[in-house]
This record gives sequence, C-alpha cells and structure tokens, in this order.
Amino acid sequence: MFEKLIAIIIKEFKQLIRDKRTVALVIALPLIVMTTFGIAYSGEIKDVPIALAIEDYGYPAKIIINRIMNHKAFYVKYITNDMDTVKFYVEKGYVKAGVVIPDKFSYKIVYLGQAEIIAILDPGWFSIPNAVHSVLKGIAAQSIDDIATYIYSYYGVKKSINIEVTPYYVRGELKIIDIVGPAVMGIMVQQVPLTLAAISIVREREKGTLEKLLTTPTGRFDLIFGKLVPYAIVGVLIGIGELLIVTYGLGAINYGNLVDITIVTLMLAIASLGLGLFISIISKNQLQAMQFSTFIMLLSYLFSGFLLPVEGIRPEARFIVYAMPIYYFYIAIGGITLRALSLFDVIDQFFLLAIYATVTLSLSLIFMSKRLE
Amino acid sequence: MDRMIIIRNLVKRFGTIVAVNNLNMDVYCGEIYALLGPNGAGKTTTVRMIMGLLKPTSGTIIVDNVDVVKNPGLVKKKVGYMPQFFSLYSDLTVFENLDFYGRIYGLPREIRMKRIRELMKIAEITEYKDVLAGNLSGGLKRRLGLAATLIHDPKLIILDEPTAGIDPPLRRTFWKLFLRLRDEEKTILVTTHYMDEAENADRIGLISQGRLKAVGTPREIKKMVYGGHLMRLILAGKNIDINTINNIDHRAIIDVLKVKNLGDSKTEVILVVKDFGSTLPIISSELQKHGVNIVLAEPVPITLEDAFIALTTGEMPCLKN
Ligand SMILES: Nc1ncnc2c1ncn2[C@@H]1O[C@H](COP(=O)(O)OP(=O)(O)OP(=O)(O)O)[C@@H](O)[C@H]1O
Ligand SMILES: [Mg+2]
Repeated sequence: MFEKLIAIIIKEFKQLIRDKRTVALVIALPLIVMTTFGIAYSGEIKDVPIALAIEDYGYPAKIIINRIMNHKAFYVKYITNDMDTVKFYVEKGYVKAGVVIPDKFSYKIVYLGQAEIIAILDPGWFSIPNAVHSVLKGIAAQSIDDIATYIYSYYGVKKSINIEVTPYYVRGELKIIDIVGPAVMGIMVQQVPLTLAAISIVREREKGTLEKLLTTPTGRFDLIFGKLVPYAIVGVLIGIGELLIVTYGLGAINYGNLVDITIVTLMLAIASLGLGLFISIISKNQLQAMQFSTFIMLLSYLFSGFLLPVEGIRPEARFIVYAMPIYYFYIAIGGITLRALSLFDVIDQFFLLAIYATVTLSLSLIFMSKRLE
Repeated sequence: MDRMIIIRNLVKRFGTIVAVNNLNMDVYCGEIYALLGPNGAGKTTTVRMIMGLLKPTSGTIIVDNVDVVKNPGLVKKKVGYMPQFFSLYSDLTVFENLDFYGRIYGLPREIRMKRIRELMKIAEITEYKDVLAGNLSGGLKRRLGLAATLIHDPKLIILDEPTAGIDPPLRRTFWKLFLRLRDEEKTILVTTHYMDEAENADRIGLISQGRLKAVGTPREIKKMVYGGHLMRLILAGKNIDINTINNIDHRAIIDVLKVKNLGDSKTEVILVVKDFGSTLPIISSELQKHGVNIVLAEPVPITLEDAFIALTTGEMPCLKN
C-alpha cells in the first residue's frame, strides 16, 4: 500500500541529487551559512568608531583615556574638547558612539572619590549602545586601582573610589519599531526584486521561451534592463509602502523626506536586481535560483549589520557584510529616517550601492550567454 | 542559383555524443528544403546552430552571406525561427504574444497592427485573439507559433518540426501556407520526420546520425534507393526467364529485381530503369524481337518511406506483390 508513496519518495530523491549544483546548494549552502555564522558571531565587539571629548586633563583622566584609546573595541575617530561636538557627531552618524571625560573629572575623583564619564549613545544602532556601555564600565572598573595608586602616591591617602558610566541617549530612547522598521523595509526591497530577477531568466530558459527570444534581435542589454525596470518599480513601491505603514500606521520615527528615501530605496532595488540577475544567469533551473535567493535572504538577516553590528562580527568574516547590498542601505536609511540626515549626508552609502549595482549588472551582461548552452 | 544557407563540415559534440557529424548542406534561395530524419538524427541541433543558439564544435555556417558562427547577430532580423517546442508566453494572450514579437522586431505600430491582423487571419486564430496562449490546444499553439515566426516578414523561415503532433488537415493547411510563402520568394527550411509531407518540398535532405545521407528532389531521392525507377511488367510468351531480360539493351535497364512465373504463359518482372517513359518503348521493341508481348506496364511507386529506410539503414525495402 506504500508503493506509490515510495515511488514518489525515490523520484524526489533522484531529482534532488541529479544535478551537482543543486546538491551543493541544498546541502552545502546551509552548512556554509552555519559555519560562517559561527565564526562571524564568535568574536567580541571590535573597532566601533567613536568620538572622544576630553574636557579634563588630569592624570586620572589620562589613565581612562589611555585605556579607551588602546581598547580593541574602539576605534577613536575624533577627539575634541567638548561634549556638544561629540553629541553632534553621534547624532549625524559620523561615529556610532561617543565618550566624554567631563570637566573636573580628576578633581572629583581625587577629592570626592566619585566621578562619572558619559557615554553618548545612539539607540538606532541596535546592539551597539549596550556593548559600548558595558565596555566602558569594564574600563572604568579596571582603571580604579591605577587611579587609587596614583592618589596614594601623590596625596598619600588611601581612598575607595568609584567611577560611574552615565549613558546619554541622543534623541532619547527609541521604540523597537523605529529600529526594526527600516531593517524590514531593506530586507523586502532587497528580497522581492532579487527573487523576481533570480527566477526571471532561468524561467525563460526552463519554459523554452528563451530559445525563441534569443533568435530575435534583442540583445543582452534589452533583456537585462527590460527585466530590471518593472522589478525595480515593484521593489520601490513595496519598500515605500512598508515605510509609510510603519511610520503612519505604527508610529515609528521618520525624520526623512520621501524623495531621499525613494532615491536610496531605488538604488537598493537596482543593486539587488543586479545580484538577482547574476544568480539567474548562473542557475541551471528555478529551484537553484530560489535556493540562492533564500541563501542571500538568510545572510542578509545575519550579516546586514542589523542583528549584529559589523563591529561585532569577526574581521575575517566582515567581507560577507560588505557583500550584502542591504548593509549600505541600512546605514543610509537609518541615517535618513532616524538621524534626520539628508541624502547628501549618506552619499557614500548611496555611491557604494551604485557601485554594487554597476558591478553586478556588468557581471550579468558579461556572463549572460546569448546561446542555449 | 543563390544559396541562402551554406553549411560546411559542421560538427557538434555533446560530451561524447556526436549529434552532428561533418554535415554539408546547401539551401537555395526561394526553395522549400525539408530536413528529413528520424528522432535523434541531429535536426534540432543543426537548426539551433544555424540560429546561433548552439556553438558548433567545428565547421562553418553561412546564412545570407554572413558567417553566423562569427556574427550571430547580423542575420536575426531576416530569419524567422519556430522552435520544436512551444516557446511563446503562456501567460500572455494570442494578441499580446504577437504584439510583443512585433515590437521586438521594431515594427511601427500601424504596420504591426496590420501584420498581426493578417497573420491571425492566415493562421485562423483571430477568434482566439484574447485567449491566453497557455490555454490554446496543441494545434492552435502551433498556429500561433507560426504566426509569431512570420511577424517580421522574414526572408528565411526556419521551422523545427512545425507539424509534429498536429492533425492531417492542419498539416495540409500548413504546407499550403509554406508553398504560398515560397511563391512569395521566401526560403523555407523545415525539419520533419513525416515522409509524406516532405514530398511537398522542393528538395529533401535525408539526415541520419548527424550526417546528410542523401539530397535531392523527392523524385531524385526515391530514385536513389535503386539507382532508378521501378517498372512492373506482365509479359506474355513462352520460356521467359532472367536471360530474356538480360539480353535487352543494358543502358536502359539498371537492375532486375524480380522474375516470377504467374502461369498461363504470364510472367511478372520488376525492373529498375533509368526512366519510365523513355525506357518502355525500347524494352517493348526488344522483347517483341523475342516474341514476348507486354501485357501490362506500370511504374511501381516507391514511397519516400522506403527510400528513407533504405538510405538511412541500408536495408532494401521488400517489394510487395
Ligand atoms: N544538450 C544536449 N546534451 C546532450 N546531448 C544532446 C543535447 N541535445 C541533443 N543531444 C543529442 O544529440 C542528438 C541529436 O539530437 P537532436 O535533438 O538534434 O535530434 P532531432 O533530429 O531533432 O530529433 P527529434 O526528431 O527527436 O527532435 C541526440 O542523440 C540527442 O540525444
Ligand atoms: Mg528535434
């Protein structure tokens, strides 16, 4: 009574293992994802770009500053002497966090045994604020002995001292939707056009329509860009739609203007299409194309800098992050919607997306065969 | 005569399979050339190489004076190609498919609309204008495929098994259309494994195992099997045997296939002759010299099927009594 069932099971297995590339995609890809994930996520936070405001030049301050400068979690991008500049840098997204050693820090620690350093944090960077805060607390704790020794040797007093790390959130605290909204938007704007594009050419190949189309005067350019335009429009509409729902329906913060958002979103859609078309060209069938695009989706959740910031990923594995179009988009869209930046402020990310699109589309044009083989 | 397609030493290998094996072939301008061969003979592979869809392993293909292996793009506007399997968009309607291909070939709107109207009429699909192509019957799909192939009025039309799996009336309709197109000075290369319809072609190329086994008009092809035409004679006279025939002037008779005594002084003889009409009087007068009369003389029809089997397998077809 199970013959039919067994027949189908056997057939499915055979089909699954018939093409080597399918086998690789079905079995090897998940393994690769898991391994990279393991490697990438096993490190500790590293190289977070920060700005440092030094308002106090006493020796105890120097001890702290020295530790901050040499800590591998931080990459001190700017040093200034006032807190407002640091706040400004954090607000604008030039750095991901700031540290202020306030005026009279050394005085307070020596005479009151109690002082604070201020962590300027941007809650828009998902897990960065917590990480920075705890690294700073660690630095403070480690510095206590050194400072106590210094006080003893200079002033001859033994004193129990305490250093507080006070968090200061630029623009106040954020709701989860404020942070997740743009990320989800990015995933959709990347994934919908990418999947459509990934299937597009390989579907024509499978259905036999490509055989006819290739014998007409249409060139690679027509084929690629002809498919790109409608998918890009769909991608942008979906993205903007999602953002409007999140902003007006769910009350997420959005300081951006719609034109800037649309332009950046369009660029992400085009970059994703480039990637999708490339997938379509190297896939033998629709199943493979789907596998590829699911794989990219998984990777973009894990490595877009959203769940875990790029600073939290091991440097050896960071190239995966840079290979995801959504990484650039996420920085740009976060800047526009959460940090009230203009397109001009995030033009670097925009251009990186444009380069991404140019590279993937060029690869598609180059590798797209005008033959059936 | 000018040649539309010239193929020289064409080879196509798929791994170890040799699909096309040193093929040489010419298609003249303004003719219908039928590439006739059994399944797996290499017809589709050949046609795909002509269309630039497959890259030959070696050899040259010239279409309308252009080397299509080197410049696959140059002749595309002049050629209309209908693949063996349905290759239009199932989720577009009949009209939308034709309109799409009209645009692809850059036809201006007015001309496009006129052309679509004409072609739908010729292919008798006007009433299905708004039906999704995927919902058409097999025969209608073929008609639509043909219409799409002709949309840009190509001077060379290449059809890969256009009549496979369609009913005899539609096949006849198709061939009528091919003849009409030929009269409009189009060149048509059509592949098929139906012998009967190949007979409508101006010339036939017999392909088997990737090689062209024979080329010629349908008459010539049939002649090739025995090296001439078959003539059946019923002779009346005594003591007729193989020698009676062998004594006749040898230039007219190529071979003697059969001599059978029917009793009652009647003998059936089947001869291979150079030509039926001119040979009969010679034989007749020669036989009369030996006192033998011809009671009946008739040509034995050789079907293309016989020829096909004979030329592709080397087996001589059995003669029916
Ligand atoms: N892509 C391919 N890979 C491997 N072998 C192929 C491929 N395409 C064709 N062949 C082989 O080449 C030979 C010729 O095939 P082709 O399709 O040209 O034959 P055909 O004359 O068109 O047959 P049919 O009448 O069945 O359509 C066959 O043996 C076939 O199996
Ligand atoms: Mg074929």
